[in-house]
Amino acid sequence: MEKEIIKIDGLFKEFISQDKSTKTEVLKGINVSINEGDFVVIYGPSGCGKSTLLNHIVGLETPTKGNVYLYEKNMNTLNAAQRAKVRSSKFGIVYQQSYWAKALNVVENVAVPLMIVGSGYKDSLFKAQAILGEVEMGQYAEKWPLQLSGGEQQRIGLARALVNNPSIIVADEPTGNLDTHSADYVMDLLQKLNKIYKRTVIMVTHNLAYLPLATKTIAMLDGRIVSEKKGELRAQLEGELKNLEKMI
Amino acid sequence: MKLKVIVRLSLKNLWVKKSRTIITTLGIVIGIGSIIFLVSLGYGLERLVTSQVTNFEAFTILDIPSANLKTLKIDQSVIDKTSALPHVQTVVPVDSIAGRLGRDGTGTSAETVVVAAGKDYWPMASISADKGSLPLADGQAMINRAALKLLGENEDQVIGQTMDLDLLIPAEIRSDNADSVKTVEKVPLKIVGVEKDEQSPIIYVPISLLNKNGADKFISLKLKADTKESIPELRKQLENLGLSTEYVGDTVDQISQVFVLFRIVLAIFGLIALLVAALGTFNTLTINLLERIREIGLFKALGMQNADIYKLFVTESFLIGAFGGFFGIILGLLMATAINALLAVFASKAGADTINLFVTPWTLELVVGLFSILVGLATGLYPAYRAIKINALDALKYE
Repeated sequence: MEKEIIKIDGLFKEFISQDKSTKTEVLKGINVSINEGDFVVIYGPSGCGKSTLLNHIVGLETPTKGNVYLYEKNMNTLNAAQRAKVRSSKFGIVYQQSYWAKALNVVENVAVPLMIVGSGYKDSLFKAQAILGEVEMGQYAEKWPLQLSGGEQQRIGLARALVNNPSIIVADEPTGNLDTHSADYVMDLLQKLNKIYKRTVIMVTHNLAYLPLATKTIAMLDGRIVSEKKGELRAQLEGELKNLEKMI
Repeated sequence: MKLKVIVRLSLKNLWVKKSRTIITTLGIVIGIGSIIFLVSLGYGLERLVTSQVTNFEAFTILDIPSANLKTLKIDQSVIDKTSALPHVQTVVPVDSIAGRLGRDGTGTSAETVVVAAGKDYWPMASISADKGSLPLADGQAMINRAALKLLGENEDQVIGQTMDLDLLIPAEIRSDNADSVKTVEKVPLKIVGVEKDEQSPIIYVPISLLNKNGADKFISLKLKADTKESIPELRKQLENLGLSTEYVGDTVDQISQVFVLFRIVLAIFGLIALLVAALGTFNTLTINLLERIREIGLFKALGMQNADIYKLFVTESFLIGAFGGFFGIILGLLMATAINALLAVFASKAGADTINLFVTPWTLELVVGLFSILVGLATGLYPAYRAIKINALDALKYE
């Protein structure tokens, strides 16, 4: 039986404007269950609450109501420092836009998550260099991230997300700013991580072309889940692929 | 996070904005350099003044004057009592009377002060012979330049000559119960040395000269203790014997108090420079913070603890303070040394003694260095506090 690693139970999130005059309800009673090894694609129009949901999963937001459980631990019971620790040890996060520490070169930026969890400087750089090789960016180690193209930056961002060997990869519109070639590379890598390395991937996108990659799809609209499906299409495609292989 | 990693990241953050960091640190360097330079001047001037007043040995010496004593007179019994006190090494008597000095055949004479003392007195009172030697034996005398001038004598020829001294011994230092001044005329004395003072005419003779002529009391005693530390206790014991004491340390303390105030005034000038520099550092760190808001958001999203983010910013300000302090001390020392060297050149050209106008005790360097670090840290506290208050998600959206 598949192990449930994330459970979201009756999640509500309300944002209050700075002058406290208006309240905006962004999430309205979300219930989700994610199993180990899932490739979850959350999709929906802009402003539907996809990214807010992701931010709750990684502990960057706290619910107005409801609970988020990670490995059966209620994230609501953790303080900010404990949630930060969970984030640094369990999650690898990829954003649509790449963010960098400008004083650090590529390999140092990739090494930051290792330094955060207490690794030494040289050890961190050694491991970061290896992971850069995995995403075919080893030759750019000494460059400054902002000298690189968007696609290259996103690969480095992926390397940074993977350097800590996290069990869950969270990707918020990872291909949103990329050309087709770069986007394909990123998606291939995410698939590889999911299929070969058995990492759980939770990806937010509004690109429906990626739905077939998912083992689970979650459609959101106006702060609610309007559809939650097992990835029948991926299973169907994988089945057909196997049949073709047999025929060959 | 490991502290070494935090320091490394902080150094990288400072280095990536080289010119800004250098200019900010330069402000601290100038501020700290000014403090070192000015306070060293204060110390140097104090040392110059106190060295004029005394030497190191003088701190173990007490004067016991008879002037303040109403009933007790200082005689041999007082010398014996004081010599018996613990920690006392030497007690020497001194008398000072009026005299008239002349030479047979020349017809010239001069009114002079006669200082008569035991042989240990001269070094204790920092009296030395500029030419010849001290009057250590009976029948010897040392004359100063002021007296020589009055007599019209040549200092190169006077040594070895015999002069006549009339002694005017007051009743206060005699025990013969006569009220008037006792005059002893034409005591022949061999001049053995010349003392350099040119202000007032003095002739120095052994105390035995006055003892032989009926003076058995003394206007004061000089007492040498074994250590400087035993002086306070010794003063108490002497006061218990009914004696009053004068100590060069009292004068030096008074001078020091004036110079403490002087140094504070000088330090305030330096502090003004440092305050301006500290405001510059604060400004730089605040700008650094505003430029790195997204980076802080990223670090938080990646799971960096607030405590580590705080340390990252405080370490940067610490490093500015530490580097500024280090190079500031070097700058202050260089300026002080340069002026001391320049004065030494002028002094040697003028044939005068070398003086050190700037003196920098290592404690000053230590205190100012620590102060610089403290100022650096203080300027970083608020930006560091602001950094940890930043919301990660807001920071990532920050333009």
